[in-house]
Amino acid sequence: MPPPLTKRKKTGELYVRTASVDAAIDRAAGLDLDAVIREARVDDRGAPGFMEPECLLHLVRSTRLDNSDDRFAQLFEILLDRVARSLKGSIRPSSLYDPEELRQEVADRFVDLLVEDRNQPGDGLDYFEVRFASALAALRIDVLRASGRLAAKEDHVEDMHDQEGQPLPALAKQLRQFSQAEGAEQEKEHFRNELLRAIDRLPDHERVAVTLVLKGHPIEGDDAETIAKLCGVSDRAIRYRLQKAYEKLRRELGEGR
Amino acid sequence: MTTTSTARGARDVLMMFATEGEPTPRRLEAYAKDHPELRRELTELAVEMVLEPSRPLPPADASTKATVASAWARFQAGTRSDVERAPVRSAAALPNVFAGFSGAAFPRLAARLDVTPLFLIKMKDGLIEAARFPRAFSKLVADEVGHEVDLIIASLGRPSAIPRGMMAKSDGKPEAGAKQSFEEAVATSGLTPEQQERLLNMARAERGSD
Repeated sequence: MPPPLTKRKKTGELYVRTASVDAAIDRAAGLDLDAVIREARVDDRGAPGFMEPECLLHLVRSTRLDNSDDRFAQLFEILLDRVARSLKGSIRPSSLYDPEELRQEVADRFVDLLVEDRNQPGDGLDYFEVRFASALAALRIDVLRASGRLAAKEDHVEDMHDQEGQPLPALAKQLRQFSQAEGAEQEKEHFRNELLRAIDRLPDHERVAVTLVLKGHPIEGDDAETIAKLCGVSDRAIRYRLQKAYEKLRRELGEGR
Repeated sequence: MTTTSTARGARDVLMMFATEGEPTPRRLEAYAKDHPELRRELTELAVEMVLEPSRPLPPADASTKATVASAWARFQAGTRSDVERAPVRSAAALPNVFAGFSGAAFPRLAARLDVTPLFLIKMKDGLIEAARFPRAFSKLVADEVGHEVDLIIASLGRPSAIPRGMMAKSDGKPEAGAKQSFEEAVATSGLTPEQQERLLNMARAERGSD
């Protein structure tokens, strides 16, 4: 078993890696450098031998103990290549910021955590060994928050052309039905991925509203954190965004759905 | 939980949301209630956690390669020890005392000093600790290369010019600053026993006179 993480939750429990990451770390410990590097380069989630980023990060952190600059340099490059490409996928062109600049800024913050960990081993990177992609998303959003770019993004109001559209519950029902693909499990999985990718291509405001509907967030209600409250806009704006998004998704994924 | 967040506190809240569970409406609602100032950020994060797994990793290109190169430089700068960093600034002003001895002139200089070129290369590249390096030999070098003896001693204090990993000890343990002690350098530079004895005697004589 690899050494446990040291970061604790507010409840006092230790953060833990997934069982598959622990197993991958154990397995990598028995491989020579060439084999580890070969496996670390497999970054397609669906490919056999895919090395999870949580495992790759652990290997980078553990080079602190083996005094192998070559091993460290190669693993560092592979890890940062994945980070840079992941940021390229998640930070798209925007009128509110320079995507290249933002990607570099997030990568810098991640490297700062690696530096901190190398100079004085701590628990700052433990989050990344638990859920790498989600932790990287949190870091990216924190950089946006700290620089005020997220506020600028949310304050932008689209031109609604004074359309009222359909009532919210009807729209939500349509969208949720739309995501219920029929057919075998594999087909459903395929359609779900296609749908998520199509949602990911929507403009920011529509992407957020549709995803929240699919996750089952309440559309209306006085006490609950409704989608409008979460997005900081009116119910009318949400209705408009959902309607626009629904039309685009139907066009992209098939009118018959 | 708090209703205001410091910069680090805000990041921790986002990290906790990202890593302690799924982005369900119930969790998002609870976090948004406890941290209303982070509602937008948490909402954006919840959406990312849903969409990210379906996103294929784009291929590497010039911009991602530039990010990796910049990350490497940042890491190197951030992890260089204080011992290594401090001399870098002062060493920038030091001239290369061996600059006039390139090509065949370098082994000839070594022969005049009665050492091997390898020993002299270690001096040139700052690979020998200055602490126990005999001043008498520095004086011989100074006379040959035409610089002040203090400059020769100062140039020994520079950080080594090769990566740390190349100077790892055989037992695999880290070696601070990638430098050899004077005695190690004497023993591992291809010097004859007589040459070694001469250099070690210089050092002993100076330690004895301390």
